Amino acid sequence: MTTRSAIAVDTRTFEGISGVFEVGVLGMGDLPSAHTMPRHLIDVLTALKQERGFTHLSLLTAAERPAETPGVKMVYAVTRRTDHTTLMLSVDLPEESLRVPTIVALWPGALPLEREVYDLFGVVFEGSPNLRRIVLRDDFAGHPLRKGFVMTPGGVDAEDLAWALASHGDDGPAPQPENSDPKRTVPLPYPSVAEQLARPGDPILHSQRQLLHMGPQHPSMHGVLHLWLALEGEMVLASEVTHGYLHRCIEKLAETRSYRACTALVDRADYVSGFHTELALLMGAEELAQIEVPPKAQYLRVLMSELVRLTSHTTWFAACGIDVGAFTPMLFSFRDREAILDFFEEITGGRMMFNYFRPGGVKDDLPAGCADRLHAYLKTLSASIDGYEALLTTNEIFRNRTCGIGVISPQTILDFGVTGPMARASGVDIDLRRDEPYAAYADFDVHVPLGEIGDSFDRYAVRIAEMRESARLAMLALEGMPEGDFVTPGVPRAIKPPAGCAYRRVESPRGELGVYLESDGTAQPWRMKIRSPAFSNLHVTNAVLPGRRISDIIAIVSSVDVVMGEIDR
Amino acid sequence: MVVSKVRVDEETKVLIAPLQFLMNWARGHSMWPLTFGTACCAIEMMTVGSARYDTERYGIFFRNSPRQADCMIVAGTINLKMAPRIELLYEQMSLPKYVIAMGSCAVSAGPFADGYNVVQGVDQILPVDIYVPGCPPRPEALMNALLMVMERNSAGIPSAAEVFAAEQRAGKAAL
Repeated sequence: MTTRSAIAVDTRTFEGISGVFEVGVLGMGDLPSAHTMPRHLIDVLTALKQERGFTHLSLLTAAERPAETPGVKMVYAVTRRTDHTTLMLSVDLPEESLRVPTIVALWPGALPLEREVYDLFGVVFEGSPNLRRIVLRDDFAGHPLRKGFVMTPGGVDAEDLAWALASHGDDGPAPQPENSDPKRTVPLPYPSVAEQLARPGDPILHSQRQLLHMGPQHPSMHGVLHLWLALEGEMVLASEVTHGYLHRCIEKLAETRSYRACTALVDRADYVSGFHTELALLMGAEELAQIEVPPKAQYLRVLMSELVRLTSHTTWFAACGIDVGAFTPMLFSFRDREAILDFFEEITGGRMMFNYFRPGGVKDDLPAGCADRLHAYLKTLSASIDGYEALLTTNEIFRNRTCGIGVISPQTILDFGVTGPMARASGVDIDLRRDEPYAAYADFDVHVPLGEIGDSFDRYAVRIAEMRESARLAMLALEGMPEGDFVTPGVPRAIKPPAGCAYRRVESPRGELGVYLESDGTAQPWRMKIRSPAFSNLHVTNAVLPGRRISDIIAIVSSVDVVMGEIDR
Repeated sequence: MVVSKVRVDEETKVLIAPLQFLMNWARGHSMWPLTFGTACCAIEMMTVGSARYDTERYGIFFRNSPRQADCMIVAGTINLKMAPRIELLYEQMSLPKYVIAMGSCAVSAGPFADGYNVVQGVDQILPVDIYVPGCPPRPEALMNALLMVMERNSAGIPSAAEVFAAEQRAGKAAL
């Protein structure tokens, strides 16, 4: 088995669409790609979405162009779910005009992604209904992912810190007047907090509308999530996700690290399932550098991916119980989490930060006897999961808190680019392990559990079913483990892939986790972007929470399975 | 020193001790940390409260409100957006408040030290009592730090916050 993807390269998909040029596969890994101009962008994407069936916006990001042609390159990736084809589209923006039309009218989920590009690159999205910073402070100066923004060694100094402590750096909910022409602005795809607050309360009840900040320090906000809520009594009128309290410059720091050192950084991006980010990064690097991965390493990668999915879901299960008032589930699920972490410690040396996958394979083979003990443990897991279910699945309080709460329609799932268990709970049958098999997943028959109506309870039930499936797949990987090398011999410590781009995706516990890599031929990536599934999954709450009550917020947000490290990066 | 002031009244058989001693004795057996996880270390902080490590047997019980907490575990990276919020939380706690810097990020910004947005350790903002290195530290390490805080409290050693407050009163605030 090679690192080559099973995706067929078919550039004919672009035929007949005007405004597209330089169609081919050059410079974009092995994915069909094309360039277009800002003025044609909307037409090209509309044609791809509405005529050719590319309904899923997988990636929206930017990268600096080479020094000889200063400016920024916008990169879009769209996927057709019927045959699992992915296309890359790039738009070159010269330095003097970093402007591109917004695609929020086509995909509402593009709004936070565009805000991120505006924040980090300074690209202005014409017609965007809410163009303001998303991860950095509102008063931050500069756009850090531009190459012209030089990081000072030693990081933030005392002067910067004093400035940061002087204010909250947050303007609060307000309409965004600058850069916007009311006639050309796309309407916001969900109720606006500022607009809802500006309206009067109910005249009969004499109620007043109020702004509530939920987070960033709140026991149920899974770290440092912050919601702006426009409330009238118990009712949520509008909500807006605010984050960035854990933005740790991972994408900028990656540009100063070798590919192997980058795995240590991305481990900390999605800190409850580090293996998946490591895998997506290395699949991209191996694609660029044309490194083969031996079959045994592919099986070890599958094994580790499934085990870490179990630890991630057990962490979610603990948080899910605590959020709705049940503390005991945590004691049960962390018992199993600890058992798996002991195996991780034995195999990789780390409990949470593994740094185990390497270009061309993995760091080390399984220790002697480990496989048998792991297999024996996984056999007992099914009974443990029965125990979890006995605590919550039939619990009347839990069912009342989650059944019928936070229903997300399949159309909303598509609009906002939601993936993973959240999409599957709404009946959207996607799973990259089955649809675009990577590593050794082609050898496995992955069962994909689906929900029916897409409420919080379905999201719970889908994850419970996924835990059983992960345990089964991990056992199969152990049973079918081939003999041979665990790493390709002779891969240098610092790989130098030739110039090019690659976009590789894996199915993380939260959904479609992609890494977009661009190499300029040196040992450090020119650009590394993590396509975070939780980022898109979280922003759908802006559309789901309005109309619900305060107590439902927790039941809905906890069913998203938020990991802030991956969202803020 | 304070312990010597504890005595039993022979006539009434009542234990007589300075209030501060009794407060420290009580707090030293029920140290309540604030549930405040920012990043990866928060997952290990959760583990400390789970079945295998079970800090509740020492009276360590996580509280959700800073006003009820004795001790703040800064579990994760602090960036420029978070810094004013963490300062606000700290100010809401009452004395003696202990601060544990958990993990490399809270100690010295860890692997993100060169970043444009990352504070170089929480001691740039707050007086810190105990540093726990590691990325992330093992749950045992955090438990050890919590037990050290409890020992210090029982022994009547002032917290870093109290030392800082005294310095401020004396007009030589250092931070």
